Amino acid sequence: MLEVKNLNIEFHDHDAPEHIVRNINMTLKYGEILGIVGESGSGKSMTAMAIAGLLRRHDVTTSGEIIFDKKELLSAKRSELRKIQGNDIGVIFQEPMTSLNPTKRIGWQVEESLKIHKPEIGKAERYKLVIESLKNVELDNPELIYKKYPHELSGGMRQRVMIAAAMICAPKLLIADEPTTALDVTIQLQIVKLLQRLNREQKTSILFISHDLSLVKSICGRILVMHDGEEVEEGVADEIFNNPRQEYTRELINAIPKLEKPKL
Amino acid sequence: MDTENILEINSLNVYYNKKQHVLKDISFSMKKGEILGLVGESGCGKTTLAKAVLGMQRHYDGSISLDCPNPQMVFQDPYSSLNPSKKIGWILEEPMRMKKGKGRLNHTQRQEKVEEMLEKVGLDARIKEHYPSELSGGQRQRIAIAAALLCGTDFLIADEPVSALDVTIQSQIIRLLLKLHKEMGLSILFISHDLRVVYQMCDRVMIMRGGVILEQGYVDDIYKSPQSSYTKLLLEAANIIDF
Amino acid sequence: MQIGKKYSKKKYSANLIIGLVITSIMLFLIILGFFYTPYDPTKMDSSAKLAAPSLSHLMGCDNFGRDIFSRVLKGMGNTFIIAFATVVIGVVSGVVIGAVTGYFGGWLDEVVMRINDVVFAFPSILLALVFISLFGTGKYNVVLALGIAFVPSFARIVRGEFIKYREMDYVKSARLAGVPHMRIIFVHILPNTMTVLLSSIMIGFNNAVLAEAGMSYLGIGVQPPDASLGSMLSEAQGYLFSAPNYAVFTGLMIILLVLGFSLLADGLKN
Repeated sequence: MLEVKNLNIEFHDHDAPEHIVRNINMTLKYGEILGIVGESGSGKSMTAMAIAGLLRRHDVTTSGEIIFDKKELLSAKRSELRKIQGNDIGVIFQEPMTSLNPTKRIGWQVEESLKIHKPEIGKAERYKLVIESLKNVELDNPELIYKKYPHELSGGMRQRVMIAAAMICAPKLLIADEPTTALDVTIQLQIVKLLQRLNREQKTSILFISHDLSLVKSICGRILVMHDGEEVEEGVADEIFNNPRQEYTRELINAIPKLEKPKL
Repeated sequence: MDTENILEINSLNVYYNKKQHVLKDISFSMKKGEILGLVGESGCGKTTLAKAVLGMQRHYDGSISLDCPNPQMVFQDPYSSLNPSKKIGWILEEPMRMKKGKGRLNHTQRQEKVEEMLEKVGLDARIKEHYPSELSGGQRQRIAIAAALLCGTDFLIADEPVSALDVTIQSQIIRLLLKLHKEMGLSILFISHDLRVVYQMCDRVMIMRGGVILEQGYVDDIYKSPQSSYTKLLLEAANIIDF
Repeated sequence: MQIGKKYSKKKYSANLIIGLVITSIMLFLIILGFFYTPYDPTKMDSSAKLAAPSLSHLMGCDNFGRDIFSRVLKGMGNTFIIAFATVVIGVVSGVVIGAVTGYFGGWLDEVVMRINDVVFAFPSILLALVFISLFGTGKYNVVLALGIAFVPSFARIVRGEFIKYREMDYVKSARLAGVPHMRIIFVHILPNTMTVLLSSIMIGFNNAVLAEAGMSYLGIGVQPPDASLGSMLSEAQGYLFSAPNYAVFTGLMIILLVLGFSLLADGLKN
């Protein structure tokens, strides 16, 4: 469904151009969860932003190909891209506080992409769809939450609202950029389970980006490890875990806190 | 107070207003040279407890006795814990500049101390000439630890010191804290939400929720047979339920 | 071992360079004016009344036959000194008030900032007029009056910055290390507010130049025969048609002085 070929990203906001991402290749099948793992600055988020079409800026140059559902996204017209964004590709971000507009009610924010992509749907039906999608992300009292403002919700609830908003058009691909990093561990677990359920029931493909290898392993079928903008290795999650081919992957695995006292 | 204890807290209560507790009936003690873990989610009162121990919380009931004249703290966010307009060398010298009277060191002596400490926390001495904005998160956290230790303290509160760091850097900082603990006999109150990290660092642990300590005891005991359902949930979230 | 990234030096903006050039030329002229003027700026020459610009009188002469170029040099000096002193008074008191109220907060903050709001509610020129009518005209009263009128805006800016920084972890660390409050305020926090403060100082300086010109124009600033750009412009308006060079050159100097500092401030901010 998604194929990325030789993706390169360069930033031009300083004197010398910075090469953020080099020759990244990946494929994602329907209904699959692919994990991208790397430390901060490894280019994993930039890759995701490029796929979501959010890197169309004057100070960024991209090259390569991103083929989504037989359409090339990198060179697509903005108007075409807009048809895909929010409709076929949904995105959720790390910080659920800043990714919701603080001045708008939850209901308004969740139905926004419906209004844009499916204008033919009437008001009453739209309301029904929003409530349904809030219910779908396991929020209690969706009617009540519909009327609330983001600051009235906890971090975990906000992240669920984000997922509801991203999922309302039933996208084929959900990009989740560190969706649990800012949350408490127990809430993290709930969000991960929710994403797994959505993937299972609605066959949404998920691109799951995280720095936490153990988290990625628990949710993803395949993993792509990135370091300094380059691919380190890619493969089935268990295989990478059991016999990593690259030194860097080994380091990442060793860094996962284990239940043993570290030797000094 | 037991002379072996560095910190003793008895039935500590902190209130928001008359009805709501931030901390409710907290009692525990910490031995000298011990690393005590404190686990709980955001908003459970961990930070208020830390503030109370440091004397930054004015209104409370109960008793807090701390056998350390200058307790220090290492914060979660390494980006706001160092003054952005000062060089590292200046930041590290500052606590020594505050000393009055006989123990006061001159500039060269301070520089020597700073270099000694930088070596201890595993940094190159040349880092003195850099500004915080030029350093990585891990380097900053090392500097924050060095600054705390240069105050000459033997009691440290580490408030989520590795939560904002990448996993590879996390393990380095944990090793560093354990090394310093061993070398200098530091007592550390280690606040974290990651039970795996707590296991690596601590001998004993307290689980906190809603301003109450749910359970406390040796790490091995609690991880093997958690009493409260919340602790079980935490263990499940940390992927260690089948320990 | 690589210690950290040293950021590559940013290119200087065009604003900064143009501002720097204009400002240094103006400063040079001001300093020159203190030591040397082609003619005595107060000496009248009845044969040269309202003379047009020529090689002997670069900017021509005014209605008393005084050399305009010489008077501009002297006048700029007066204007600059008044503006500078005004800003110094405003900044020093503003920083102290803003820093202390912002850092400590509480009732002190409430009381001082309400007084501040009251002063701020009056336009600075009006406030200065009231002051002048109470204490009389003259260079030093103008400085004092404008200076007081400028305090609230600086106090507000500094207070806002201090409220932001006092919650930072490094301030808590400094407290734990036993650093006294005053040292935290002036050594630990104040340097961090410099970028914001510097650009507001530059804007404040421009406002002060314009305010001085305005007050002298109204006849309550620098007293004749002493020159300032504002009083000269006020005189020049009577001869706008017979000797336009008088108003044009004087106005041009005010514009250049303000423009130079504006560009400089803008350039420094980035």
